[in-house]
Amino acid sequence: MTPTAPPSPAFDIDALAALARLDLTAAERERFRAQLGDVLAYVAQLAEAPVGEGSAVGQGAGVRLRDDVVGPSLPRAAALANAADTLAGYFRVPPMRE
Amino acid sequence: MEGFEVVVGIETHVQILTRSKMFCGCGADFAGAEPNTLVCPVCLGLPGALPTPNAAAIAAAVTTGLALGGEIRPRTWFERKNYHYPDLAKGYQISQYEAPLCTGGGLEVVGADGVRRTVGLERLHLEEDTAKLIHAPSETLLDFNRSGVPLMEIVSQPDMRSGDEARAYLEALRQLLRWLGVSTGNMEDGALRADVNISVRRVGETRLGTKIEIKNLNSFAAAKGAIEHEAERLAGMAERGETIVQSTRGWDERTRTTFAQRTKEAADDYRYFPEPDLPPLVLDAGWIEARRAALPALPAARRADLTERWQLSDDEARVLTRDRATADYAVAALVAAGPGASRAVAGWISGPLFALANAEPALGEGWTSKVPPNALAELAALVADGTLTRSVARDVLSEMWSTGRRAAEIAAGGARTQISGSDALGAVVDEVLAAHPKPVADWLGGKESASAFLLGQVMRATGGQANAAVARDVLDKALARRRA
Repeated sequence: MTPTAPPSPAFDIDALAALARLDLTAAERERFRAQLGDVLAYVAQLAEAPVGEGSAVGQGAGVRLRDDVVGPSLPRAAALANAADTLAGYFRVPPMRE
Repeated sequence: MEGFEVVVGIETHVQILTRSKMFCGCGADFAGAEPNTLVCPVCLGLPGALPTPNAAAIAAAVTTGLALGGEIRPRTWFERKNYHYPDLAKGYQISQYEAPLCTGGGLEVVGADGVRRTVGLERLHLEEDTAKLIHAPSETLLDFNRSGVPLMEIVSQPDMRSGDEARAYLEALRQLLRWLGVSTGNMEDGALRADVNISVRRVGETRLGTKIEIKNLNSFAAAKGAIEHEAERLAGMAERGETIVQSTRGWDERTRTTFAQRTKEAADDYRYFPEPDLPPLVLDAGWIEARRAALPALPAARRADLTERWQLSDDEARVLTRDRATADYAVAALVAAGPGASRAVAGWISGPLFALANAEPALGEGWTSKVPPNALAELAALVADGTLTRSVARDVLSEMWSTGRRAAEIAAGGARTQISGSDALGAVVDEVLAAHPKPVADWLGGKESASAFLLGQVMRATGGQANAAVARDVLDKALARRRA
């Protein structure tokens, strides 16, 4: 990090930890807050690079499209092979509530 | 609700009718398929699998956007919408956020009050459907067959002011989707799903109130019911000075009430960013214009044609444009029958012919080939020139429907043509009078209404084939002779 890096964009470490399902101690919170702040400051600095006009996804001819043709799917046994748990052809996970 | 106004906006998710999924070649017709048999590394989100967009899904979305009067963005891109829930194997949904495929446009709806309004549209974007979850108390089961099926999300402006108007919007949208052939629009199958945003404000207020979202309404009646119930609830809260907290609610069809699901303290943090696995979607301007040129005449234009060129009423025009096959059939029949016969032809279609079609729902649009338009026009002409009575013509139509024969042929084959000769009817009238001496005596005694019964008996004796006016005349004369 250079001393001239622009200030880090604001973020809420607790909200990010909740989204990432992380249970942080007070010490970890401070450590990650500082580290993430550095990362974001660096990215903010990149934004200042003179790359000219362009959309968020650059220029170019565009994505190659696929004809609407049905191809083979996986055999179900193969699709389920690496599942942690299955039941009657379904993937099975702990009970979920929205 | 007195003194309050309800403000409604609707987000619909529409499954696009394609053979394969949005980003892979797995079959998209998952109805009836065994669970997890239409899956591959792409739609299961296995590491390293790369998506390739389905050209037909993009074409369908562009067609829909154009039909809605929206503006197509010639250069757009897909984005990742990140959230953790087992219905997404990848941990994100490929969607569009910053640059939707289409913006603006509107949809004309006719509210319950018969007034036409245009509901403005905010955006239409492409995304993929999620896996189907089956919840049990001790586990959740996942079927990824639906995962990756192409979806359009169509977001309206908050332009609706009642449950009826919301319902009319959804009906008009479904009609258009089916008209264009881009979706089945079947709400009961989940091919068209509605999330409703609703708020209330005092009449005259211009700012929007705090909004409540009611998710996954799967019928027109549910959308209307949920809005009406929620509007009452919110107005009551506002009346009592209670604070409305932005939240998501569900609709319980059984109790016909909404219930709390979750409170939204802030906008969901989906951490959208451009999908790095997909270069931007670039659409050629000429290709977009070709799609615009290929649009069929849309329901509103077809309705206008029926009222202006064929002099039908708004109601008749609405009924005859319920779907594209019906509209095409109606115009063909109107052309075959010629000017002057349009009201009669409209009546034959929306009455007896719809009744026959409704009795055989499995036919679907195939009903239009059961009685060809020119054959219906011939039938209408035989009624107009007095060859057939209306009631006989109904039977003839049924026979046309089941045998494919023409009206004139059926009429000639049996004693179905109208009996209008006074000699033939005179014999029938004499028989009826002889068989019913009591009503005859009543009539002679001054009870005028007895003649209606006798006329009914004459019609019955002729199987409805008597010309009613001639029969009445013959009957009146026969009765008068008895008085003299």
